[in-house]
Amino acid sequence: MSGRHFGASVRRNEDERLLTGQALFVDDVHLEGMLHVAFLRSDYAHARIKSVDLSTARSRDGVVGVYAAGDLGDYWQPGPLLVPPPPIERLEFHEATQVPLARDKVRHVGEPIAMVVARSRYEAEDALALIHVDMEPLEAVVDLEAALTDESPQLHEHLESNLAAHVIQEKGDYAAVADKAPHVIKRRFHFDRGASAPMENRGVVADWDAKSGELTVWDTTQAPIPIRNGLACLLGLPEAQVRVIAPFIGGGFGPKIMMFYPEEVLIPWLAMKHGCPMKWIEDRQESFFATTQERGQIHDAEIALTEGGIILGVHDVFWHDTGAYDPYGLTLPINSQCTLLGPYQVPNYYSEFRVVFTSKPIVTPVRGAGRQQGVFVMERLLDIAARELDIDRVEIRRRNLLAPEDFPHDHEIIYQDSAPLVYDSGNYEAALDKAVEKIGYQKFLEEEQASARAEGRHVGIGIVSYIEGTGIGPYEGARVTIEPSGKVCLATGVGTQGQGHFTSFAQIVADELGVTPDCVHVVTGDTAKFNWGTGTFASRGAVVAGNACHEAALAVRAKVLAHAAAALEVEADDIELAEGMARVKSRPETCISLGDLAVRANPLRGAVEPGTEPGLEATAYFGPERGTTASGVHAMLIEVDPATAMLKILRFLVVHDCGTVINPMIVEGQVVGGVAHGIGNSFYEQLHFDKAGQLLNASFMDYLLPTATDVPNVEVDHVETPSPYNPLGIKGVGEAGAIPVGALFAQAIEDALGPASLEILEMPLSPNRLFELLSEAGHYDSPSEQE
Amino acid sequence: MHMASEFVFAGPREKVWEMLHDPAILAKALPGTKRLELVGEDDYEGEMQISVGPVTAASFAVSVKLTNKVVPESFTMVVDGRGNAGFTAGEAHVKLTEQGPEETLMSYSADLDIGGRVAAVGQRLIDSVGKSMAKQGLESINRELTGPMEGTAAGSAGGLSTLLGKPAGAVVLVLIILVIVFLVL
Repeated sequence: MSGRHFGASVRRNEDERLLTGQALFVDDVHLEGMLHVAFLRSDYAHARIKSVDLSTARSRDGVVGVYAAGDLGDYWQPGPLLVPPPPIERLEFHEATQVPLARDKVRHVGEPIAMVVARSRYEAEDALALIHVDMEPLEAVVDLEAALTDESPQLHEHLESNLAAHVIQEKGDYAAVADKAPHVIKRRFHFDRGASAPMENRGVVADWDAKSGELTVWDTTQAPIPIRNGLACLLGLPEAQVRVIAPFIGGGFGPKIMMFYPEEVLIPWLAMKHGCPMKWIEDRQESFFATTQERGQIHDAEIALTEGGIILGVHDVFWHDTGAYDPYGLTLPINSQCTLLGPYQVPNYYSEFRVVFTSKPIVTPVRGAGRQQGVFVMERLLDIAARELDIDRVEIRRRNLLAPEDFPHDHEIIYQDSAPLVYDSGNYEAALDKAVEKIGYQKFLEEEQASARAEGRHVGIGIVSYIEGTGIGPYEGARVTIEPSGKVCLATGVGTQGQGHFTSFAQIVADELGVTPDCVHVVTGDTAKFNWGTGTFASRGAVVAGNACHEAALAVRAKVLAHAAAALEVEADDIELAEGMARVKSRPETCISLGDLAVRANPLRGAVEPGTEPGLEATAYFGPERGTTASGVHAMLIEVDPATAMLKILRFLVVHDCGTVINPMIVEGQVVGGVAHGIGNSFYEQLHFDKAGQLLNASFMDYLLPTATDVPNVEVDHVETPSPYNPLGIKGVGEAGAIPVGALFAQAIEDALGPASLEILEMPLSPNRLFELLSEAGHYDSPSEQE
Repeated sequence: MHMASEFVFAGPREKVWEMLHDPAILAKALPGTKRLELVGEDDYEGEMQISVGPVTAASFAVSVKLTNKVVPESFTMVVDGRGNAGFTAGEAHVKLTEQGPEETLMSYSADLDIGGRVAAVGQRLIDSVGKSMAKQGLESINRELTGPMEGTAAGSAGGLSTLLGKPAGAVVLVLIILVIVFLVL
């Protein structure tokens, strides 16, 4: 589909509200008589709770209520298993989900133990100091491999060990090919944790109206509808009596779809119990413990190749850190397992992983969601193979890329959405060619790098490929309504965290109805406006909800044409929709406005044909058969200063294929934002835990985020290979920018420092860590490098 | 966290040992001690409230047990401190060595687990602030060795005057470490 607005860089409808401070965020909600909640969180990573004394806190001035686990009665129960494991043979999974307030034990620093309700947050926090918790510290579980030994302390008493899951997926026979393979490379790779660090932390406000029996909750969630359904169930209310609003949100990135966070179940409960509005806003320090995190994995990986660099097979055994609980099932390690295969032909694959409970904050998807780790392992193996086989880095990738005629390509393993891992479409070599040409790969290697080296500068180039499974089901919906004013209203269930939903969805609808996108009023993330759907995750908003918007718009278009044909006394085929009017193609002056048609479609008197639906309105749902595979290539020129181990990014290029593009400007924004995230994950951001499970850098003083000066101008180009799995041909793009950046940094740094200078087998790096690696590699041993 | 350092006192070893056990001197070295009681042999419990500059009163309960005492050479302190800002627990070993008739070398090393807000946001300061605080505390004791300070026990703002009779043990060092840890907030 393409039209006047679909495919154009239309200015964002939401920006005026956002830029002038008119957009509502959860913390903007102020209600009469509202009370404030603060949480007492564990200082220990692992400890037994012997007693909790709330009496002093309760008697403090300004305090309205103080609660520990025992005060919650039957409301205290472990959260749901949000994502049940996919149907994989021999799969072993052990469930341990988080609880609202820790009762017998705490299992990570920051786990909530008690909460105070007070007139102000100030008073609530002061009262926290008066709660006395008697704790018996237990040994922490930090190291992934040690956690699975018999000597390790155990986190969950109802389980046999700290093993949360064990999964093997296999294709072909790796052992057989590896035996005969001319070349086998084996390495161990480490990926460590980072925070999602959204600009807006989490927050919940709840308001209980006893007279109408209605509960309204403002929540920074990416999944307002499942939260509503879950809350209704927990609180014993009809779903229709619970309204969850996810207003504007300052960045989601995945952790805001955890379900349920303790605060999400407790704040509404408090509002009902006290009969007055309750508010909790997460502060930045809480966010480092109380919001989920990601990426801790260790891989023992092996690749078998021919002398010509053709992949014969890959063998990977890895450990995945799920933190203290595993409510998100196996989404992350399965994403790692599947995404490792990348855009390549891998005839034999053996992948085995163990998910491990540790006494660290809970792990759930963060932008990229396990894909970074898989891409890092595969791209690193190819870089090492290229070096050992003396094949150019781009060439070894080119020799292994899937060709356009290989699609659909079945990898014969199961993806996170429980469907077989089948790539729908792609044009990987075209993207690689485009990147090679635009970054000037050959010229850089043949001329620029040598002349820079002659000047004593360490410049390098990186170029990596990746794929991203996006747009998974199950489904989303949308309702399109034309009102008598001529205004078009579009409601959908997927909340927005800055992605441009108000514009992209409007573009899709506008073209079908002959209006401009700014005439389409979009409502998202309010269960009172639309209450079917699952949420914003897995780069699926545009794919799944976008297609639902399209289906609904087509249905309304059909109604418009039918009413217009009757009104204008012509055939529907003779009518075009443009400029808010239905007009006869051959004589545009014969026309009727969409608003007048809406009035005709909803008569106040008279009779209608039996079976007539009122109004110009339609609701539609879209559920893809399976996810669609986006792809891309990132290329980067960097300069490394070995004396300081600091980097300067000279150029950063992304060639991306997200199928049909709705709005190139928005796609570019998504990609650039992802790259910024990726740069942080590669060279700045790392959560450091000590052996006692204490997080040592829980503030922005010590946890480095890339700043504006660290993020370069990113050049973005597109290849468009439409997906056959949805009518609009869209693939997702929300996470793409972040996924391959670690692999890219590793390759470019190695290249800058010269052949065989060091081998980077871990992410994230930092200036400090790079300095250590250079020292270990003996880089500073020769006097010439010490200048 | 591991901390280790040395300090040279200008006095004989027995005198230094004694000084390290004098409640009045401990109080001077450690403003903010609200209560310190001997609850058993070589077993102390107390409460401290520290407030420096913009950092207001971080209050914490502390218990210190002295073990492996070899008068006047060495001892071990087992420490447990808990407050709203976090906790610390671990051991510190102290050794006094004669370097001359008027010179005593004190070497100490402490291995402490530090948790909570202190560990989370104070990490970058613990080491450097720790060293400088320890030095200040020890220097004030050293000054006492070389010439008594003005206004001793009675003037210690109710500090360690509640300390029961017996030598207080060298809790000073541990308390200094604790102060350091909690100050970084």
